[in-house]
Amino acid sequence: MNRERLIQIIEAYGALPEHWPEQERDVAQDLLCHDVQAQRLVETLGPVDDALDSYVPDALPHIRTRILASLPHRLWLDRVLEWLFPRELLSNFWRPLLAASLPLVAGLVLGGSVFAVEATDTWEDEIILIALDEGALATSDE
Amino acid sequence: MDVGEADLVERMVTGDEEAYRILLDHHLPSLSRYVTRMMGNSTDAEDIVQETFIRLWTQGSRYDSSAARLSTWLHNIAHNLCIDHFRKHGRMVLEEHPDDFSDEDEPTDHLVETQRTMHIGQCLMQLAERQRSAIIMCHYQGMSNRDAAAILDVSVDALESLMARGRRKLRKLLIALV
Repeated sequence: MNRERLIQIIEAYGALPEHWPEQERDVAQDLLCHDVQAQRLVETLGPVDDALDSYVPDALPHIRTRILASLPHRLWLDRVLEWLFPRELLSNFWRPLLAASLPLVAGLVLGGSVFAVEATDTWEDEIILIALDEGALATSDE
Repeated sequence: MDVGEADLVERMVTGDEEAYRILLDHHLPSLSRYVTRMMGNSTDAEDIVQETFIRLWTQGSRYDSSAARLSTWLHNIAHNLCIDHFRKHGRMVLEEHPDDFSDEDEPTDHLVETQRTMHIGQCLMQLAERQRSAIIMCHYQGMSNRDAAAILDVSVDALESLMARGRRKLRKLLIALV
């Protein structure tokens, strides 16, 4: 804590030490006791804190009743899902489960596409082989 | 967050309305004051406070007690709702009480006090939203600088800069009023 930091604290948090950051408060107050310029700054900025403290907005008298009346009711399905898949279980296991299932999904996709390619190749190969066979037969007949 | 409150949130998430009521009663006064100071009028403040606590009920399962205190989480929701409101509707002026300032009335202490409070509220409303929010969270709500910085999504240094600029402007506005 140095003088520069003390000035920063007073300018940001105001003249009242109770609003200063807790971890720096004691040291800042000690420093303030020995720093006349910082004390003047506290006196200058004090009225801003007084003004802020005097501003107490009107209460919201019916807000509690309004909130409770507007609460959406939970569907029975939500409760069943909550019971089946508790929040803790989901939050602790859904990421590893998802990660573990990725190779399976990748394997299924890859397997499906390879199978499709093989099927097409086999069919095309078969036509080509038949054509070649007929060509070979024709040549041998000649 | 204390164990009792964490337990209440767990119960609330499973549909326990009694647990929700306890949390509501605990956090409603403080959050109402924050939103009313941010909005400058009770009509918009009521809508935002209501929406914040409905989200506690409907989205409470998203709250992570290891990451933040419930109070900070609620302030974060309320702050974002306030900013959304300002973006949609523009900045609102502080509500006036015309009956309180009739020329026929004698200026009583209460009247002078009400007028002074209204003027300070108007000065606060003239600050940029982030400056106002930073000052309200640290001065009125007793929030730590780290929590306030997290809500505003800035560093602690940036938060202090926001507050210092806000207070400087507030001082000028208050001097102009006198």
